[in-house]
Amino acid sequence: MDPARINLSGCFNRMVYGQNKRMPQDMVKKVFFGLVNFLVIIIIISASTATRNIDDRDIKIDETDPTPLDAGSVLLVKNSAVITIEGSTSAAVLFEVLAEAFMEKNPEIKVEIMANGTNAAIKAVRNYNADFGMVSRHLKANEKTPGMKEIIIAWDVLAVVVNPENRIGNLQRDQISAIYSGRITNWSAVGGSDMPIHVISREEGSGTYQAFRSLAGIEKVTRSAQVTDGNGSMLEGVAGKINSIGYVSMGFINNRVKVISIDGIYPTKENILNNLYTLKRPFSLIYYEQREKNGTDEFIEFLHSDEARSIISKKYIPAE
Amino acid sequence: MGITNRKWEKAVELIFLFSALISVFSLAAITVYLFARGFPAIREIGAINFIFGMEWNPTADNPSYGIFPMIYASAASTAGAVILSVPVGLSAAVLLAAVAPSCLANLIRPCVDLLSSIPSVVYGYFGLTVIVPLISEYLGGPGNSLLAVIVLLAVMILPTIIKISENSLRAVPVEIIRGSYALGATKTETIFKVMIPAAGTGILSSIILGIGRAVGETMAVILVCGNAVQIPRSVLDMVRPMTANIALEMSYADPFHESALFGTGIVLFIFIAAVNIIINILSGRITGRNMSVQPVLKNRTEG
Repeated sequence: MDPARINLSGCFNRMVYGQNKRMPQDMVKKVFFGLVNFLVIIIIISASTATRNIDDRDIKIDETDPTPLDAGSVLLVKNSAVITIEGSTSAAVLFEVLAEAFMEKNPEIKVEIMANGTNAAIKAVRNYNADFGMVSRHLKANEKTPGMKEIIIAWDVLAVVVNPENRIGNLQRDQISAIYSGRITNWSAVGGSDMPIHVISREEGSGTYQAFRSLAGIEKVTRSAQVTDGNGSMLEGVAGKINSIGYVSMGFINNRVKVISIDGIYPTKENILNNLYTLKRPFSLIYYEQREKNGTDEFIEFLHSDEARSIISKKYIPAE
Repeated sequence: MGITNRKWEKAVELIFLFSALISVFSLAAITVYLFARGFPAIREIGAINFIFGMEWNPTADNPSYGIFPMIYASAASTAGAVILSVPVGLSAAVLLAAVAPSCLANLIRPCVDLLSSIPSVVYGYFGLTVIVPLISEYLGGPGNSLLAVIVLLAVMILPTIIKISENSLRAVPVEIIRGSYALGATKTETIFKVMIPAAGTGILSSIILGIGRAVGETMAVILVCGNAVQIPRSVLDMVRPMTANIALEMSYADPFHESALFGTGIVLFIFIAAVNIIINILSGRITGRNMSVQPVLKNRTEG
């Protein structure tokens, strides 16, 4: 052992405990250094939050300043512009791609997207926690507040999916409703092979669930339906069980499941634009007219551009 | 020097006290928050309707908020997991503590440790991709089922039960074990009639901790339980335990729905507290029996 260290720890012990050591050296060291570490971490954390607060305040002052800003401070504001978007998990898939393209064109503006559900989006926009909310259904009357704007960006199509090994390729709309209400429980009742139908649905409150329920005319989803917590686990469920039926947003479809037609109509682009296929819902953006203008105008403008429309039309139908 | 010494003692003591109080305050803060958020919904729905209601349709036009199927699911899955896991875990603990040669024990022990450090979402994914299809194939039904939850939870609480039981079996005084051998008892008799009763409190606390983990497990359970709100008629039916309900619906909930989910949390809280209290009472009784075992052994060796 090197003598300096012995000396140091001896000195340390004398300092802490006087001449008579009452605690084992190791433990003293551990406790002491543990506490020092703890304090250092706390100091670092509080220091960093403090600086962040100061930064925020500076920017806010800049933005609310009614006097015209000189070029330098405009640049400062632009560099730190952050657009926050919260909302529907289904819509987030689209908005993430759109945001990426937008940020490429406008590198001084940063777009942060949080996928936490339609209801969370309404909450966040109302509390001014987010600049925009992504909403994947029509807003109810009591959810709109004065000054709130709702613009439809794209139409999302809900596809009814079954396992690829299921020989069913078409269902009537009321057959789907009956299956989801629990009135039909065997595939043989709708022309399939004799096996029980494994119904898969989404959790209460999810935008996809609410849209599907109202679009397909289902009053109450059967109690024995499996409930999954996202489009991904829905696909996993349908791909994994030969007798299952589910519904997902068109953007999630992969070749492990089979999309069926409804009343003989497949969810193709023409059928959707002609309103023949009715299981569709809007992806809209909600925001307040009066808001911080830190790049939000540019974002709205971008959403109506041709570039945005071509991105949207890869998986969804751009709104007219 | 003496004064500095005492000051330091005091300071260190205060730091320890402060650290201990952090956990007390955290508990208090969580409890108060939970009740403050959840109580309004329970009062509006009515405690009886909430706890014994059979329908859970928070977003229907005529919403109903009954969580009895979920309480049942939590209780059934936990009980099933404990019933499966305790005999296996206890046997493994006996092997590690008393039977296995040290080379074998040193091989098994790290495996048990590793098992306890696997993240629960990994357990869940394993359950979804392995256990669920196996159940569906060999036993029928959708596979996402009470049985899948039970099997998964049983594996998840196994390390807890093995570790703590093993430690308490090792803590049995060697005099008692030697005494048992001296009386002509075989190894098996010594294990079942002396060691396990003597380690009873420790084994029970391992079960309590196991129950705690099983009741509270969320992520793994969501993936395999199927989440249907119903009273299962067999172990092959889908269930939704209380934890899964909270995690599944929290992000989308409107304020009242959210309050009802906090209410589910309150019931869960009371449920776990009740299980702990009941087992503590039981364990008190068993400790009492231990006290009477030891003198008997002593008398015999003296005689």
